[in-house]
Amino acid sequence: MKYIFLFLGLFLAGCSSKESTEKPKIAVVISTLNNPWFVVLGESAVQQAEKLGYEAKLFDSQNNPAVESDHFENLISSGFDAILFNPTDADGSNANILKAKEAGIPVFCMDREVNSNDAATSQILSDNYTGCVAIGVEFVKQLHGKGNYVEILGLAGDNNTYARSNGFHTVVDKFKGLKLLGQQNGDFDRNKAMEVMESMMQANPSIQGVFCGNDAMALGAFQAIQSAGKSEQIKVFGFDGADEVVQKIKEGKIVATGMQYPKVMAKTAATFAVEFFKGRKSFPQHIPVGVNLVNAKTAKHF
Amino acid sequence: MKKGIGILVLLVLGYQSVYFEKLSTRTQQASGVQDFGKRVEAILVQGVLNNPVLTEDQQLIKELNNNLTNTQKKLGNRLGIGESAYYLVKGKARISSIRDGYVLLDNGSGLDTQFIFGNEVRDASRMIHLEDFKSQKDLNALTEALNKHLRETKIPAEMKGIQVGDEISYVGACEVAPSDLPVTSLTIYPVEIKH
Repeated sequence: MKYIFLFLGLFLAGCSSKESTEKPKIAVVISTLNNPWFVVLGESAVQQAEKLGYEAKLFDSQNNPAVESDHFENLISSGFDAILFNPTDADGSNANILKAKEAGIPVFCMDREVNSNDAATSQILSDNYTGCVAIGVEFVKQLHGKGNYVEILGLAGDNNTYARSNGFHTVVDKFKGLKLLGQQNGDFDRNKAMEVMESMMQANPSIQGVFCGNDAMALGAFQAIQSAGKSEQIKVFGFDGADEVVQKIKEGKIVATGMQYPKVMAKTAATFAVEFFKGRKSFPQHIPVGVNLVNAKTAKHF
Repeated sequence: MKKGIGILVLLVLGYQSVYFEKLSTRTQQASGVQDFGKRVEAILVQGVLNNPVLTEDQQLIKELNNNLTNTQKKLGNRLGIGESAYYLVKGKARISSIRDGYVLLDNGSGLDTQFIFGNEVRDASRMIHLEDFKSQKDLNALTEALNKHLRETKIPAEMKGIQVGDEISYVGACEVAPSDLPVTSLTIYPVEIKH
């Protein structure tokens, strides 16, 4: 009997010793790795977690909520301790976050917001609204408060699409001389935005400005405008801070964009996960990350 | 008689089973618009006009150029993450010009009365904390309520009768980023203008 207790004692001590030496593992789940912007976000999150001394693994949801759901099932069962998460769907991804929460795994959202105030441990998001307020101010100044314009939105039902458009219109709608002639979705896609811009120019030859919900669409719109020989007439505004757009701003071809900081979001999420492991349990539900206006005057800083 | 009572009961039940609300109230709720009146007042009075960190503009410029990091810690504030910070400023100057709502002062700085849309006053006031808001939408709605009050009501009323050449005193907020160094002038979003 004495030997049985001794054996059990040694077995339990062995178990606890293994647990204490095992470092927590961090999963980085990204909506899509088909878009370079999200590749930067995902890889930066992995690098930051590793830099802080933790094992990290990157998962690609391929913009598919079903794939994302499978990732969550797998990483919960394989013992990951925190998830740095870029969701595919503002509503649909909540169920996955709640599953992780039930399993005691904290989830830190990056860049894309989910429609829940208490599912994720914290959401670290670009301040899309304020960034597009600044774009709106620049738009009004560049068009001198009057003229016809169109808007190419991102994805229907996406929170970032809504926040960007809302920030822009908070300013622009106050200027009655500015008339919105058309508003269509370009799905954050360069080719689709090019087609949308072509059809909007055919329907409205007097367009003087276009606001695009991201830089890929701004580049697509610019291509359509250039092909139509209207680059002197139509001013293009984007959002993201893509290198190609910053270069075009320096060349005077695109007017302005909003610079986002995926590396800052990734670093903050990784740091929060580590703080959670060390005992911090309270985090603000939303952390806005500032967006800087890039225009002809400020482009030299980027 | 029985039929009459039956109809009456049905009418009462029908009325009680639905809830009537003004369409304007419903639209406001759906768009996230809330009544921020008291909160806006508190931000302006406690957060700005009576805030001990309110600094003379020329003094602020001097401190920013002298040591930006220390000045950010001592006098600046911002919600969330970003390299710039927001500051409360006050001053007295003579008006050099007024163009498109931009009041250029003879000390080189200016009051932007037209584009009060950003986070300058909200963040510089130090009255708002991220933990108080469950969603970004609510925070943005408060920001717009504060800016709208300044932009469309308070500042236009205080600007009435003010002309080029007048000496004014002012209180407001501004944003300064490391890339703005060396700072030679400030763009101030006004909270109070006195003639």
